[in-house]
Amino acid sequence: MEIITHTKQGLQILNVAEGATPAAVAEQVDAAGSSVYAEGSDVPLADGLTLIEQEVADGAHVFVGKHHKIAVTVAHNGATKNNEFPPSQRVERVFDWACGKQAFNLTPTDKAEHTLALDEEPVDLRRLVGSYADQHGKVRFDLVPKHRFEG
Amino acid sequence: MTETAITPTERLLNAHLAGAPYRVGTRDGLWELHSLEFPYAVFKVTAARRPNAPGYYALRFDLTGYDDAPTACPWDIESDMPLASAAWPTGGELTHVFNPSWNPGALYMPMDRVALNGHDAWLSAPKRYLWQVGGEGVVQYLRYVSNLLNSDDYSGARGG
Repeated sequence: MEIITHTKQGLQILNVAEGATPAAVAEQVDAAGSSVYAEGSDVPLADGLTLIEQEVADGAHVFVGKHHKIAVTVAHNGATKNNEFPPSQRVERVFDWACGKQAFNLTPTDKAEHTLALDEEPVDLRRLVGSYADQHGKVRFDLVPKHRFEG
Repeated sequence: MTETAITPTERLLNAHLAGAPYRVGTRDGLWELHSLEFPYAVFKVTAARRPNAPGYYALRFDLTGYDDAPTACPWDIESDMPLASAAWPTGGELTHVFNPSWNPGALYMPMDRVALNGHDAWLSAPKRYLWQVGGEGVVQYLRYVSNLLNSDDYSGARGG
């Protein structure tokens, strides 16, 4: 089967054997010793079980890395908000939180006008957040207006 | 006997289509290649569900000069013709990007070489909005359109 791995080095599609374990996946992406997380989970997959035994199916997205939690800071209009997310959470969920009542409380209209950026470049909201974290498991995004090309 | 040799530009496109960024998008149902007769390629890009709107839009790319920026326009796969204006997607930012009154043969966005021509000011935008030679190739354009068609801005087809 094929699984999609997210690491700091990017995306890969891996062909893995039916009996592959998380350790084998980590080795395949040159990250031996790292943990493997199913999308959305902050609990690493157990090393003693195969992917299939842990309900990782064909086409699944996983994160491969060393941090169980990513400390996320989002800056907007001179203020910052902090939260923790599983490394295997989509950045889109961080964006939803940042725009929501627990953070900057944007209206739906304002939310549609904004995105998250890292070092002034908009990030891919479909990537897993651990892909953007530094070596300490931290990342700081800016909640910024989208560029409009209307003239 | 004649044999059509594959050109370096076609080889580069094939490499991009075999790469993880493109294939992940296909696996996730974001886009798929419908046909390829280089330098023309038709891709289907999945759209969010909206009333009276299709589940995807096809784009016909002109990839002449690839890996330079391409140009593309909405395409009617059934008739193999440009998509009728009334069927173009719309809403918010899409109203500007998918604007047949401006040009029925291109999209008004900085990834598109036709639109970029004459808009030097766009070059100061963050790099992710711009076509990057040596980057992920056609995926860059597909991702840009996919994001639009799955954004809250998208309201359906013009005549929907």
